[in-house]
Amino acid sequence: MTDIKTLIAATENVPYYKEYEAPDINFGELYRYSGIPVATDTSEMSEIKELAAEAIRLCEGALTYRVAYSLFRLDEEDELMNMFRSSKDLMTNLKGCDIGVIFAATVGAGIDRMIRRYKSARPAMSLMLQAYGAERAESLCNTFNEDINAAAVEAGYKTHPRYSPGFGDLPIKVQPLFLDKLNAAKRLGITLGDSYLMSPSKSVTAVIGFKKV
Amino acid sequence: MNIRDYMKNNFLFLDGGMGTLLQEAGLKPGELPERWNFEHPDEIVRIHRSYYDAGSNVVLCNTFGANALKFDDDELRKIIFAAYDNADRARKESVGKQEKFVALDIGSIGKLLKPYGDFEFEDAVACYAKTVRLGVEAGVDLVFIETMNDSYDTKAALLAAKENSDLPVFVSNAYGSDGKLMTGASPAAMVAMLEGMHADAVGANCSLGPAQLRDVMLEYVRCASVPVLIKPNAGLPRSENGKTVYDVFPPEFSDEVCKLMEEGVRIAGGCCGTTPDYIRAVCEKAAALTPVPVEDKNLSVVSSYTNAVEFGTQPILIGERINPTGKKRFQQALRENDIDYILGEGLKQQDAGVQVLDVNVGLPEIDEVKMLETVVRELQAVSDLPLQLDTTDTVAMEAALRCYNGKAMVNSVNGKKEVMDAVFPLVAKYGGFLVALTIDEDGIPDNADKRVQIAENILKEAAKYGIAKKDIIFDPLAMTISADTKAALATIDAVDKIRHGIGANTSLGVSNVSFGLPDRNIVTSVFFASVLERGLSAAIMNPYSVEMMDVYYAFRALHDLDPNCIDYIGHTGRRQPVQVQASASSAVDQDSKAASLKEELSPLKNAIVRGLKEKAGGLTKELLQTQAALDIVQKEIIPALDIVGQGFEAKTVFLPQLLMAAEAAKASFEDIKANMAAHPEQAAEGKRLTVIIATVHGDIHDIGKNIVKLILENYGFEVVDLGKDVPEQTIVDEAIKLHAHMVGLSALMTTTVPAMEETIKLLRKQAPWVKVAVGGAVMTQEYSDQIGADKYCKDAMDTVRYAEELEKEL
Repeated sequence: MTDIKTLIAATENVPYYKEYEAPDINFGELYRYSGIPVATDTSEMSEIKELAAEAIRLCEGALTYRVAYSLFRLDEEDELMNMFRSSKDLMTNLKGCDIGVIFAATVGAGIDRMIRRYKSARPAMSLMLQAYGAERAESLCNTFNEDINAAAVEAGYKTHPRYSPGFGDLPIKVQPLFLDKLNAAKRLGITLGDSYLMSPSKSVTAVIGFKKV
Repeated sequence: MNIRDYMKNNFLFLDGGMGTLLQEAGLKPGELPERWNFEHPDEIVRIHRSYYDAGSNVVLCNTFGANALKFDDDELRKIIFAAYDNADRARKESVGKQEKFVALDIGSIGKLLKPYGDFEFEDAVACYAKTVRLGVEAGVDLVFIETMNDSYDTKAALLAAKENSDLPVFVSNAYGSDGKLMTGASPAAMVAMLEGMHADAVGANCSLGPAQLRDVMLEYVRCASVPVLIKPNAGLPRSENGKTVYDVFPPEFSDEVCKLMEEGVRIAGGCCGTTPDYIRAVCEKAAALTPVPVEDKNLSVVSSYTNAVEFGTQPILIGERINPTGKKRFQQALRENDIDYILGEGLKQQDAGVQVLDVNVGLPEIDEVKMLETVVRELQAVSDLPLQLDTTDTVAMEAALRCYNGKAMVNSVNGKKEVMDAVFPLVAKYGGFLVALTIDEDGIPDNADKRVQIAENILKEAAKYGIAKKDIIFDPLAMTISADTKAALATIDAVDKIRHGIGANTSLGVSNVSFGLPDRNIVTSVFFASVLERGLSAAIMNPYSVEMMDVYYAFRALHDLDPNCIDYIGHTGRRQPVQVQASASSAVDQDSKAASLKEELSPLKNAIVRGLKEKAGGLTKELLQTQAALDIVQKEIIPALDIVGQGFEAKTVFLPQLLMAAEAAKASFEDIKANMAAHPEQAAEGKRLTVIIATVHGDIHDIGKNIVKLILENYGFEVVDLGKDVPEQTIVDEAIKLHAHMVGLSALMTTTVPAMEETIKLLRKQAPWVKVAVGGAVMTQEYSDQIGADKYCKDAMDTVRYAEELEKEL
């Protein structure tokens, strides 16, 4: 992780890239994404466990864990910051923060092919793969977030909870600005469709604000 | 001098990075560098000239992002002409004495193509074509397609370049640290596709430094029969005092690049982070090297979007099951446009171990052109096996070749002049590995020598189109021994002579040999062993035949093609047919509430409730021996589904379990359908309600919609699935055409609810009889009322209940 001090010292906000090892699997989240309510006792559900284990096995070697990130200064005059400043909900989240990072994370295109492959022949597997992909992307974000937290603390900041386009009044149409700034098409292979949806589908973009302690 | 001639005996040096130099010159973040061609031409000329001065033979115009998605027609023309003028001026002003060329630079349009993205392949071709035509008109010497990280996008660009110019085209892809493109293609797969389409040079650029690209480049040199190029980054970027710097400097960079040139790379330059100093260092060091000649590697290869399959080293199995001939169930699927069934046949064969899938969807009453294209597009989205396009309709063949993401196997041409005239031009244009049947105007010769003669004639004619022997695989035709007991001998002999005399690959549809005989598998598999022994390269076969797979694995083990006999041992472990057991081991200890219920269930109900797919299929087959198909549906399958459905409604069964049960029920239904296709007189009236479902315009989330479809079908409803991102009017048109009773609309995002509302409005106007059910993550009762739907369905079971209500009213 490029430390936050270096990021802050930078005169040009260039994007950085990091490739992670596979984060530990959060089975609670995996089951939740597959449609099993959180409080359910899954200990006896052997067929669900087998399905999940097979989904995980099918994805071996097919996932990548890549993140692109860049510093932002809220007072900067650019289109993305204008949109940030005009989102009431995001500004509430960023209260007290002058700077932060934006990032894009993806687990790659392999899982989308896998999901499609099983779509009609094995819908339950397709569902479990969807759930696994969602869990993987979320776990990747958590891992990255922990790194950023640690680096921020070292530089005398604390981080705010991450916030993604599409939440509250931050419109999903900020996505092109996000991805351009992170050079995400070239570096992560993330592209946008007409309705601003990302491909690969298991990709996340988000903002993390830094507050001076 | 012409660049093609120059390349024959010389290394070709490219330029280096552009972006960093433009930033140094004052390009601001967010500013489009292409506009600098006319806003700051002197800066652009200066940078180009510094590369020519450093020794570059080829400078890429500043047109990386010059495409019709970013600029309107007038500005695009202005940019490309200005870009060429800048490069040409630099060439004239440079002090360099080397040969100098100007390339039109083409980068990705940055759109993911269907089916994973929302951009049409042909739209991408049209977009690239615009840029190419302007570049040609401006006067460039070659086209340079670079930094492409998706094979399909690359094909679109190369196709556009080839269709709109005669200039040399270089194609360079961006590989990740795993040695693959972002969408998974290996270097061997890219080389196969690009050479097939006549790229003049192939290679890699960007992403990594020269040392990290080494393995990728060595693989290129191993596979490619055209010059190989490299244009790496100056290592990896990092930040130093607020500036981006790269960690490989000219001495190390040029060392690594020159090492690769010693291994056979012929064209070299630099990408991100490299400057004229890097190029100068490469040129100086390379002066001491002699170019390694570019040789024809004589590989016979087909490829999918990820993998290349090589013929001639190992026997290759081509799955024959995607073919309606003699298969009633498959014919029914074709007539009903049941693509899922066809895809299922493909995936099953892949699991059974084939390396290529034959695709034949010809049936007199269907539109084969459209069907073949659809199946190819869908199949290549779910399977990474190369496809063999099997059709006699050359219009269908061209449509399929065009949209195929890789280098396809083409089945087939033969010795008839008329057929050769029609098929060779297609393979010459799109690339392909061509199956050639040894038959001509006089029919199939009864002896080997005449078949060999036809093979030679075909090769001679193919050569006129530039199609080499390595891209043809002969099928000397297996004929049944029940008609002529000398037939097999003639075929075996022909295989031997073509393989060892002509030196070409051979393939056979082996099962023909036993036509008309009892226990055909015995004869077919022994024949298979005999022809393999004489050099057969590939067989079009049925991978579900245990005997055929026995021969295949045993042959490989016996011929030192299976290290430690691992594959053979794996095969013997799988070859025992799965026994339907009285009690399945692991799934017994289920959650107790449901377990007590299940104890009283019949075996089939139990299998469905527990989601045991294989078991449900096996039990259905057994029951069909003694019971009528419809009785099984009424007394077994539907009640079992009801148990699961009620459990789901009561929240004792959850979504994955509901789906597993649905899959098991579907396996039962497959057997029922096959039985009914064989006994149409037993087919009875099904449900009358017709349901159309779709994910609305702008939304590409279809998992929920697919679940609803599956469960509705399980309950016997006729469901027409229009897919995802479906335009409003398409849904309405279909509702009118089918006079559908119910339309189910799904949306996941708030942003696409307006599309849903619009669809409902149009339906009310044009198809007022239709009942509309809505669902999806974003939907609520309140939303549903607001947009005027008839019913909000919170999940799949809810939709079933609503459909049942409507059914009753009919």
